[in-house]
Amino acid sequence: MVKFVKVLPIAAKIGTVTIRYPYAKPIVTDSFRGAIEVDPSKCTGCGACTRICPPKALSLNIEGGTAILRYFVGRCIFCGMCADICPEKAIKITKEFELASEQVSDLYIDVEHEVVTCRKCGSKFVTSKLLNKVEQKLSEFSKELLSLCPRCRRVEMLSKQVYLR
Amino acid sequence: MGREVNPESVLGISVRRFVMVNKCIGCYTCEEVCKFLNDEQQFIKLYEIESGLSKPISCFHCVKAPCVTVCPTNALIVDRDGAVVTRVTRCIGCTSCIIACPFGIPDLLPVGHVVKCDLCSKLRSEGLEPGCIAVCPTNAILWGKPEDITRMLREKTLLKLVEAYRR
Ligand code: SF4
Ligand code: SF4
Ligand code: SF4
Ligand code: SF4
Ligand code: SF4
Repeated sequence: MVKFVKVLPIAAKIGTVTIRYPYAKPIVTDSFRGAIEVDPSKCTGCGACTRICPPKALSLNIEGGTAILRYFVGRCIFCGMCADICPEKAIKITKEFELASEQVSDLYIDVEHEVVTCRKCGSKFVTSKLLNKVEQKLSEFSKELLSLCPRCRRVEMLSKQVYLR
Repeated sequence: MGREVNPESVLGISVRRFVMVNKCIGCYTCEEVCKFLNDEQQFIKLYEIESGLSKPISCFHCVKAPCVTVCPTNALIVDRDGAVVTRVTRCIGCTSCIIACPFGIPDLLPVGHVVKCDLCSKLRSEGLEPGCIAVCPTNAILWGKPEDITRMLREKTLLKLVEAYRR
């Protein structure tokens, strides 16, 4: 009882510490991790983030002629691993945590990418952005091979070797 | 009679491992032994070029390897013997190496990292030859410095010529 009395002057001095949420802005610390944000201009659609994401909140799928990098907030555990791993530094961890919505579509955020079609088998194997990036890094590169998917490149190379002699 | 071939002129890149497709009899021994050594994964694989004609392809261990150049995490490195190997713990599965490899060699595993032929690192560390090279019945697979490969190819062509002359 005596101990409790000691608290009173301290409380009087400091005053109210709770805030009038949601009317007042909540306090979030520097290290707080909320929803992520993918910068479409930086993202190449490589899919590395989808492979590290523990709950598979991120996915990369080819639908028609586009590759869609989809972020489903509903599954995100806010671990930030995607932001750590993204080779393009395209992912930002925001402080956003008020994510509830009545519309399920609000929980999905898509980044769309154009895809390249293999000139031999017609499979869609890479986004044009990633292909361009790789091309830029390799100065002496055969354009002919670049437009083939990995499997067709193997067969093409073998045919070249076989029919050379 | 096979013309003398220099791998670089065929592949457009200088390499440390080469399969002489004209010597290969398509027996699948290399593929099987690779599977046996690597937990059912095939890092050397035969493809049917035309009906009844299958030939193997695997990593060429390029001297200036495009895959190594593009890897953003240095997961791909050139080891002491010049083999290009993957450090899987560093790989983030960005697939850049797959796109960069002129021969489409690296494979992405569902768990999210890339694997490829490491020229049997383990066997080499014990002083043994890579599996496929050791078992190939026609000695069609060569590995070493690019100069050595060219020299071996030249010797083999000469030997063939001599044999043909003797008959
Ligand atoms: S890792 Fe980065 S660049 Fe690759 S798909 Fe994800 S956000 Fe885009
Ligand atoms: S923060 Fe974690 S759970 Fe959320 S999308 Fe990124 S990797 Fe997935
Ligand atoms: S993976 Fe492809 S680019 Fe890399 S060393 Fe092997 S053959 Fe060369
Ligand atoms: S997939 Fe892995 S090994 Fe290949 S370039 Fe990306 S990080 Fe490097
Ligand atoms: S073991 Fe030799 S001969 Fe048999 S498929 Fe492989 S490279 Fe060809």
